[in-house]
Amino acid sequence: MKKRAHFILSGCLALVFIYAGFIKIMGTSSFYEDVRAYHLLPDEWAWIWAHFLPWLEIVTGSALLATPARLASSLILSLLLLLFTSALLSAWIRGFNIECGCLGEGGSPSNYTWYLSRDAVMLLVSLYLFRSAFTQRATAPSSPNL
Amino acid sequence: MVWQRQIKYTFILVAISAIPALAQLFYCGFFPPVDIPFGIRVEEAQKLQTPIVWVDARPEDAFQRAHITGALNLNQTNWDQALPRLFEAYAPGRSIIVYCSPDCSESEEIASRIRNLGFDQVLVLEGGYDAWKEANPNL
Repeated sequence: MKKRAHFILSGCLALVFIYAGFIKIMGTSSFYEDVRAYHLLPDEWAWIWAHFLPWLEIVTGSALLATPARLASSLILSLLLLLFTSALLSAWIRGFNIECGCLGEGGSPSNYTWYLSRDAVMLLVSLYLFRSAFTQRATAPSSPNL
Repeated sequence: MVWQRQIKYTFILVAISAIPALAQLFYCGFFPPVDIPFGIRVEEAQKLQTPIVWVDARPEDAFQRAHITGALNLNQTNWDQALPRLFEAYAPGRSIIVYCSPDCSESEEIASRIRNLGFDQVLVLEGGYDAWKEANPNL
């Protein structure tokens, strides 16, 4: 039962990140504008980030489905989600009306409550996956491919 | 040992992501496209020979109170709903001039978004609506 829940959660989170990555690659210029709107990075770094993040999401999302790299990928995803949540909170506090740039939705005014709740749920899932991968390794230290 | 392997995996995942990203940057350029503000003063706007499509990037309530005659209200909030009206109002050879309040940056952001749609003659009114009102108190 636990294994099945684990499998479903990994699959869902991986799909969300792979989808988010593809959407951003399809509209890199638009995603660059979204990153700029946060006013957290200089334009040059926002440009590089807008090209790097989608691939990181796809690669890490895919790696979440591969057992040997599950711990590393769930750690990266947790860190990314923490980063997204902090960026959204900072934009909200500064009163920006921006597009999230998360899953390709555009045009609507910032719905920070929805964005943050969604990120919080995904963060909880990725932390759960990280913890369970970590526990699996701790209980079976001799097995390299758990 | 386990942690060493996981750190290695983390670096590998980041490196694998960096390869296509670098290829994409190599193709698109390592620096972002320069976003020229294309500012225009009121007196210059009034002398323009080409017909103008005015875009008011202020919030709807400010637009309802007063706006340049013929302007359409297009801002970040109503972008999806109002964008078709811009396509209707635009014709080749027309200039699009975006304005907002004097101290806001919305007009530059909207002008940038409109330019990204492929419109080439997109300008930002310097001084915004207040500058226009000052120069044209009777309009």
